[in-house]
Amino acid sequence: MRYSACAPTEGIGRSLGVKRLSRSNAWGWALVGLGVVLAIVGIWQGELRDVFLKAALICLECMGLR
Amino acid sequence: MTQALPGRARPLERRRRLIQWLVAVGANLNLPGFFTGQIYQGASKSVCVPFLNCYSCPGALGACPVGTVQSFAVNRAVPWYALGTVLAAGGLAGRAICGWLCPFGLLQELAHRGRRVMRPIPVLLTRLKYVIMVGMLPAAAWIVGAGGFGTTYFCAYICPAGTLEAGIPLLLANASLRALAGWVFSWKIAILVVLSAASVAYYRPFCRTLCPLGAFYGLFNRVAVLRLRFAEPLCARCNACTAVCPVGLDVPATPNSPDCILCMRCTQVCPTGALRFGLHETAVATTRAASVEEVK
Repeated sequence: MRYSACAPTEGIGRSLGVKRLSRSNAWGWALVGLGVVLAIVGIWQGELRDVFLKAALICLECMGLR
Repeated sequence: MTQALPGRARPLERRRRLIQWLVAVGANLNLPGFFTGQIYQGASKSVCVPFLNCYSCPGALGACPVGTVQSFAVNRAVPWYALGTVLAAGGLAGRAICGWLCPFGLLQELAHRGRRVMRPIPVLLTRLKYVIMVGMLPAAAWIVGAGGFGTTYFCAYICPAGTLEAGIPLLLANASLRALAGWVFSWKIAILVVLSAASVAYYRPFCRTLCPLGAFYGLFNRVAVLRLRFAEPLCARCNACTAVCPVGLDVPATPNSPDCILCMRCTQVCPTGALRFGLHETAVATTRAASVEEVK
């Protein structure tokens, strides 16, 4: 079986008529939105400071020293 | 299964490798820390990166989300900010974060470099990462020691990234830390050695078996905004995609499997354009027979 080297979908689209599969990105965008909201809630609650306090000190557990 | 990477997949593979290097170096730019044995303490340390990168690595400029989530759990607090960060990243691109951004994934790929034999990993082992993901938070919060507090169990007893990126460089450069090394450190070194050896034979063994962040992102592969788009009517069943899949997936049967790291090799070798990564579905002809005949 041999295949054409060019992008085949465009040719097919023109010659046969195309349909776009209608699977939505809604769930993906909803998750992104929820993530952004959660992150903002966290920032608003001052979690950046807590993250900093953990990350700016050497973590002995992470290294296997405790 | 043995398969040389076809030439048409190589440009994207090179681009992916370049991005991995840029992220790995960019996220660990505090190079003096490797010599002084001190970690970076600037303001960027409050920013969670969306991939596994130990915040005790001397070079690290940001915070590891896995460590952050666990440390909040130890204090029985909900890590809204870290959870939001990984949720947004997962919703946007799923495990493309693993395939394109994670520095520890890059290191495993470098260890595996040049090997074309794709060995499958037993399914039971690939499920371990879900056990770790689900068990990590409750364990950190509720399995407490003598002081009444839990610990970051994944970081403390498993995470090889912490051993490699933080433990080894800091112990080499800092004599006072060397004095603290005991059996836990030896255990973590053993895990690192085993995984390093496994990385030579297997593609990304840590990502596929133990990484809780990879397990989490894998849940979003099917719904992420940017995901693999498979136009089944265009598929010629040539299995070129399956032959180049580094994690051994049957791509047409399981596109966007949770184990797919979205390296996108399959999209490069597909002769009919049935596989694509992006925001929108592929425009396809209405019947498979007509479309496949068209490209023959």
